[in-house]
Amino acid sequence: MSVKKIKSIEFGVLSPEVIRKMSGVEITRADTYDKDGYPIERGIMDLHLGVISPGLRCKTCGHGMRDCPGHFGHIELTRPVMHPKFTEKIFPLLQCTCKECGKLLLNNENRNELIRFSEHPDKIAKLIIDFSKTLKKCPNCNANVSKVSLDKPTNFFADGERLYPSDILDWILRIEDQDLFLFGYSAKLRPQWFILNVLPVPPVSIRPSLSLENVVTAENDLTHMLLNIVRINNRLHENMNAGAPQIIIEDLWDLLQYNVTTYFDNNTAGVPPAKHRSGRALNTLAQRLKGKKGRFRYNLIGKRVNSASRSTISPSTDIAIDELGIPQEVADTLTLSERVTSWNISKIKEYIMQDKIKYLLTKNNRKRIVTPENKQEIADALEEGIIAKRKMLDGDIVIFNRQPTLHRVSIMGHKIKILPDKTFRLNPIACAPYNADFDGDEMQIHVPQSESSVSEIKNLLMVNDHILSMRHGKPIITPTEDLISGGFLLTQNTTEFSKKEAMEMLYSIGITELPQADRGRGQYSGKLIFSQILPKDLNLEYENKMYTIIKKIKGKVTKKDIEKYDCYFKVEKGKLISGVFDERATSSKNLIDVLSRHYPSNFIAEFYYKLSKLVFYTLSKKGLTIALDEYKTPDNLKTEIDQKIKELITTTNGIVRKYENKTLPLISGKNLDETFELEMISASSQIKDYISDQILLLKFNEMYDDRKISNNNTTMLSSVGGSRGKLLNVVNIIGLWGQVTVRTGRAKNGFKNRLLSSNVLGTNALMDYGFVKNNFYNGMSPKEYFIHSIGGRQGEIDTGVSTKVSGYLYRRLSNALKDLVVQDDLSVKSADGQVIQFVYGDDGLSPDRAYLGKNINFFHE
Amino acid sequence: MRELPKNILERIENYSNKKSFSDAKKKRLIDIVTKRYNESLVTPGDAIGLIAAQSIGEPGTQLTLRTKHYAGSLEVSVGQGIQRVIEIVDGRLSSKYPSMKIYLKKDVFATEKKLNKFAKSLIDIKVSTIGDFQEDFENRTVSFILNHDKLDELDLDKEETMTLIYDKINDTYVSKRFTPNKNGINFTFDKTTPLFNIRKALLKWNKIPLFGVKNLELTVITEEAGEKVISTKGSNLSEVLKIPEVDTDRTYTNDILEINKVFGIEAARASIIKELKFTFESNGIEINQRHLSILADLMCFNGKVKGVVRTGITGEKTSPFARASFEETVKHILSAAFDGERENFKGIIENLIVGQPILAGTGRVKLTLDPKNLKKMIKKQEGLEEN
Repeated sequence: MSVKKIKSIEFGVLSPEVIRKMSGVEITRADTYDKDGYPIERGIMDLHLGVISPGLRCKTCGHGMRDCPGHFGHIELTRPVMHPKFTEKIFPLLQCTCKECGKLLLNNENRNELIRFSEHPDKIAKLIIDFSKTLKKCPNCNANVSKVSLDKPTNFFADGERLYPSDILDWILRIEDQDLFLFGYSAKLRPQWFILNVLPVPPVSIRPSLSLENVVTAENDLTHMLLNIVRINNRLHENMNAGAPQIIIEDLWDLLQYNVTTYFDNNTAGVPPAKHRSGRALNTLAQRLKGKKGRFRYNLIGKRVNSASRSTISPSTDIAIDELGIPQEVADTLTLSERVTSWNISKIKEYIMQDKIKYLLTKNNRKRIVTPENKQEIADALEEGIIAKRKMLDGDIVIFNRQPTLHRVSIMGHKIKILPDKTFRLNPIACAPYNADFDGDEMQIHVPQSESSVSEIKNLLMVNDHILSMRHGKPIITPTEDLISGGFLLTQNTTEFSKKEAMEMLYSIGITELPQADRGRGQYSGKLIFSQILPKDLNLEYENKMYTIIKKIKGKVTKKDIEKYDCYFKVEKGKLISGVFDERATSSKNLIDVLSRHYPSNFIAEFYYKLSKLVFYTLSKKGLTIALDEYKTPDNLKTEIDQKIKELITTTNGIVRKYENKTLPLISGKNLDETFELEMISASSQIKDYISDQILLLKFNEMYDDRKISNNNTTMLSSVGGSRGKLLNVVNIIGLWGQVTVRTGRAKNGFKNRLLSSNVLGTNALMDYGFVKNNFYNGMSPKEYFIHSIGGRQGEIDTGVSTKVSGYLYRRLSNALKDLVVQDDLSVKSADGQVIQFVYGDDGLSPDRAYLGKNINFFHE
Repeated sequence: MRELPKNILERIENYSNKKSFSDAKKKRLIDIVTKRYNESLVTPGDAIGLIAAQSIGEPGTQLTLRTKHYAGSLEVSVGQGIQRVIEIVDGRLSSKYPSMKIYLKKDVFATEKKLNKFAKSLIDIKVSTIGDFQEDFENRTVSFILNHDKLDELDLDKEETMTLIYDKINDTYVSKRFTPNKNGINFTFDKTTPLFNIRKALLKWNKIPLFGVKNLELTVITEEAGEKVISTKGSNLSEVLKIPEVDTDRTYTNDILEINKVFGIEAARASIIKELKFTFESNGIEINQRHLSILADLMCFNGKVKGVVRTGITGEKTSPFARASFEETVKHILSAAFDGERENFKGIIENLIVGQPILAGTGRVKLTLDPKNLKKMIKKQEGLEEN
């Protein structure tokens, strides 16, 4: 089968001749079906227009419902009407020419000047109008120049008198070709075509009747519109033949014009939309194309597909990051094609016997369904060239996707693994690029149907090849949450395993040779176990998160500190010498970055798999629990906080007094109100900073009471490891919440001169504007809670609005940029062949592969 | 294999000289670097435009919403979040929150006081800034009343200001002007002047500029790496650059259209990248420079700043399908019909619409395997091996 390619499509306007030529039948009856549901001849559903009910044959092409593509018909309009969408193109013609002789309203002098602009039809009209503004008489025939106006969308007036389409037609026909040429008209486009004498009737196949069990229940909106047009056209015809008074004819003529206008666009400004009997506005031609639900965006850019499946996702750490667990039902329903060749014929025979083949496509494209009864017979008769439709098996490749698909790693290739139960199973490490979680998210799989698409996915789309983000060149598929805290526990100096445990752990990652025990009494350190999954040639060092914390507390970190707190990650020849596995491993230049950048792409996937095995073994052995006790505020801290809050209230009262007396020294560039707000916020944030420093010190000392990291403060442990929670969260629980901010500042007044009706009128005190002195452990007072909720609500609104705003930004960006493609010489060209960049990004490097995203053609400090 | 860029070769040269590598070792180093360089190059056929759009659009939800900050000593002009990104990308005619950073030549101001005075002298002061007019319609007189507080705030000399106002306000209707006194100036109009004209004159007078640079509403002195810098609200690059004390090399405005007007399109392109980068970075979002540069280049490549809007880049595409599928579908189809346009299926979306392979990535490769030739080749190969 050869595939034909569309090389180009030409747009244009249909001339009346063409409309008549391509028409299968002239429609004259405003009727659809007769009593038996058979299309009425010359009616709006005439059989010449194609067939939409089974059993009938098209009278134009003779095909049945399946093969008939549908054909156009036409309506001969009794009186011409304006094409509503092109009146603005007719308007300048009328403004620029003489009504009597059809010549341009120019004297010779101006005409010569005009020729210079003959390539810009838009400018010409403007120029001629400017030139002829002062003219009272036509320079050519001396007739009076009439002032033409357009009452949108379709009505023209000359000197206040109505110009009917037939008048305009006469006028336009008088204009000479050379003048029309100036306005952009040619032999291919005549202005008289915009005045409709004949209207094409679209095939029935694009406006099918809705029928339930052969009883026609509803007609398409276009059919309704066409019915109206034919009905009015006929009535106009009868009235004219009967010699009805002019006013009736004009009324009907206007009605015809109205129906034609709404038939093209039922949302035309200045025209009431045509309504269905039920009062719903009809969907006419323009509405079918327009907007998000229109033909372009709904059907042409987004297309519905086969071979897809959707289900809730849930996590599984027992599969690799590039694997995907799918339910048996999905694997058995979706199929892959496999062509029988001499290499796989025996395998396919096996599949047939195992009921893995659903059906075969024989050489003459016939379907043979495989059943338990005939499978032996089919297997025996199997020969090369037959296509087998196989159920999915472990190891097949699928595409996995989650909406919103904001970047390319929202769609990636996975190897499937058939698992019990009915959800898709995803390794939680691979959640980040999809932005997925397991609170009920649903995702899709798509099964590639050709060898080339499978190959494309394998080579370009697999998860392993997308560890590094194209956006910033840093890892995005990284360990999170439990893996971090587990790895943190595993690599602590104090973590030790017995020989039995070490054997279990190493066996689970495929190591069968036990290394030398490195601790006393035959114990194995966590660091040693962790080193087993590192490549043997790795040398790497960086600062752990704890390093930064100690730096913050003590000002600088000495060698002794590094030794004591074990906060400098150092790997020599694949052996972890000091430091721990924490959140920092996922930053750029650090462990994950190096492993994914400098080792083969499947190495990182294996590393993650092994890491999970070790980590979850560690976690289940050592445990990780949080006690409520950790969140109790110690008494001395409590008194200190109370003391500080008291001080804060006094200082802020001073600020308030100064503000009310207008003696507050202004911050340069700010007025009194702004200064006051800033002072109040900075005063309260100073207190919070102080208290959080105190809490950090307290908790730090608690953690390192006897040289080893203690297990009795898990909250801090997960914060220090970087798996979840920041110091701020701890402060909010055991310290205080502090000032509530709404967007950028304190909450604004909700009532006249006060935030809440419970405030005393006109006060500006700290507590009245949302300072929360309680913490989450103690709970807030009702008023604090209320003001705190104001902040929460604002945040919720902002997320809602910002998704909308950024969604539209993204749509515009992608529409503008999608045609830019890198050429063979690394230049970037647009679809029109314009060079946008001579070398992509000025150095030709790919963003994910460029070191730290730097440009190598320029020197960086 | 592409050869290494010159400056990388230079760096290798320097490095091996420093470490005194042998020629063979140096060659090996160059080979390794060349291999890595070629591995790091972008793949021909990559739809990097779409990747750039995704990289800029995807973190959009993380940007803050509606936060306007201004030059002040506490926060020095913080990036503004998604509204600012949209403003830059739209290529709008004027920035909503224009701001300048005026750097000064070394040691032009000996004391802080002089600097302060200079900063204040830049502020755009109109008649309406420093006083109000009071109308007396019955007698057809208008008195200008000076706001002394404002004068003090702006460090203006009273007498000088009053004479300036007195000189500048000179309307044909005014029959008598009184010399400035302590509090203001009185104007008397002809008795026959229509009231409407009096009000019209006042509105005009209010806008008369007196001191400073047009559009600079506020100036604040901030410190940047030990240097005093004047930050402003409002921007007027061309005028500020004319001031002799100003360091013209470093003075900067965040108004891209103004940069385009003063320095041309290359500067505008650079400032689009700079401003986008600044906005994203101040929201803690990292985006590779390459994505921003491809966007900036597309916006600027034909000499004027075009926005990523329906009238800008997308609206000027030659393909009717590409335009119709974005916005204003009906309008674009009608204009394509009127102009007799031709759809050539050179872009991505056009081919997608008709269900053809797109001209990017694997769809762009025209090589196919000819099975007949393959068989021949295999035979040839086998023959060679036998011999």
